[in-house]
Amino acid sequence: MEKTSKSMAIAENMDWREVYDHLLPRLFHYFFYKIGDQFLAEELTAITFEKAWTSREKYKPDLGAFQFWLFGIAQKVAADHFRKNKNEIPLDAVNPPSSQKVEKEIESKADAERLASILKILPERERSLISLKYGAELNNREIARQTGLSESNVGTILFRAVTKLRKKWEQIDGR
Amino acid sequence: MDDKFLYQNRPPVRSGFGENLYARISKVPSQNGISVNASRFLLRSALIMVLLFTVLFTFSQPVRASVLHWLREIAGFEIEERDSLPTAVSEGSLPSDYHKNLLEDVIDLLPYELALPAYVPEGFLAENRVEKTGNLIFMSWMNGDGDEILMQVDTDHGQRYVTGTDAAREIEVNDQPAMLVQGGYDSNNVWDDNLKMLNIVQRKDDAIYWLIYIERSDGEFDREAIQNELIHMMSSLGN
Repeated sequence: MEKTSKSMAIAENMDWREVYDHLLPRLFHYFFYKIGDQFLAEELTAITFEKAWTSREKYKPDLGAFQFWLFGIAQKVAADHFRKNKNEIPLDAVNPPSSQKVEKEIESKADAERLASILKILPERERSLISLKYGAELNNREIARQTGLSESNVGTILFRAVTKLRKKWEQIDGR
Repeated sequence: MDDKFLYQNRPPVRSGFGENLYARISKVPSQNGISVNASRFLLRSALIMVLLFTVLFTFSQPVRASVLHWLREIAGFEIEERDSLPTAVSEGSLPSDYHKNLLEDVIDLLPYELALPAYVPEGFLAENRVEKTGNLIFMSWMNGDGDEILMQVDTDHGQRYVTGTDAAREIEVNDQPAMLVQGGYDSNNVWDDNLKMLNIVQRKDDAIYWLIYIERSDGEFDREAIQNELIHMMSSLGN
């Protein structure tokens, strides 16, 4: 609820600094969960904001449309990044890193890094939805619009992905 | 592990990164031009004006007599060629009832079966809301430069289109006649062939589909490439 009331307050005033402060962490966390690397996440966040910022006035006073447009650009920036660096991501079409290798890496890491590493074992679509939900803080309806999936499909995929993450986390935690 | 855990374990944004990025993007000026909402309002106002003019034409003999020599038919559409429109459309504030709808909320209210494009030019993202006025519906796709493709769909009720002189010509899309219009009316309602706008209009089943490309970014307007993209998009409707 806090997120909703803040969004509405911003939409009324359209203070661009406030819009930036509101969207920056969400965009950065989207890329962090999507890529699993803090420095790359910063780089892609910067690219996305630079692309979106020049046309910001055209979206005034519709923050929802600006947000939709911003995360649409973010998805394209992420896709471009993966296309250029095919070895860095576990796309469905590409073999994911072996589970044993990932688990060894995970054991010595802090929680945030651990989580990012575990995310690498998820198929691309599940990881994308986790990034939009828990990184970008979009609700299932917004994710459905952003991705073209149905809302119920989004809920099902997210449930499956979080269950997988939980299982893997507990497996590693229990060692 | 639960939802809370996934929110709590995100690394904070480095303050240095956030400040530096903001300082950098703040130096980039926002593109000039009217807002997306306002430009659509303008377009809608222009369309309403055309409809009003059609009513005048139908019921007023003097008006009909004065414009008959401007009428032409292209690709089965009646057009009226005018180098300027009679009444100025000003960029006022948005009407109080201005609102957008989710497509799924309005699609069943339309008297025709709405065909959606299977192809959209690269880089263009669909806006999540549509505008509906009566049986007329607007959808929009926009790219990172602010260029926009609008799709207007309406029932086929013999409407007349108003364009500049010799601005419209017949082309074929999917082996069916369609009308291509280059240019548009500027902010003073004077026709400008060089305005960065391109339109394709075609009948499909019991509706008329109108694709409008509006380029807002600087640089050369590649009409041929844009025309090919619009034809591709139009030909993909309902596929």
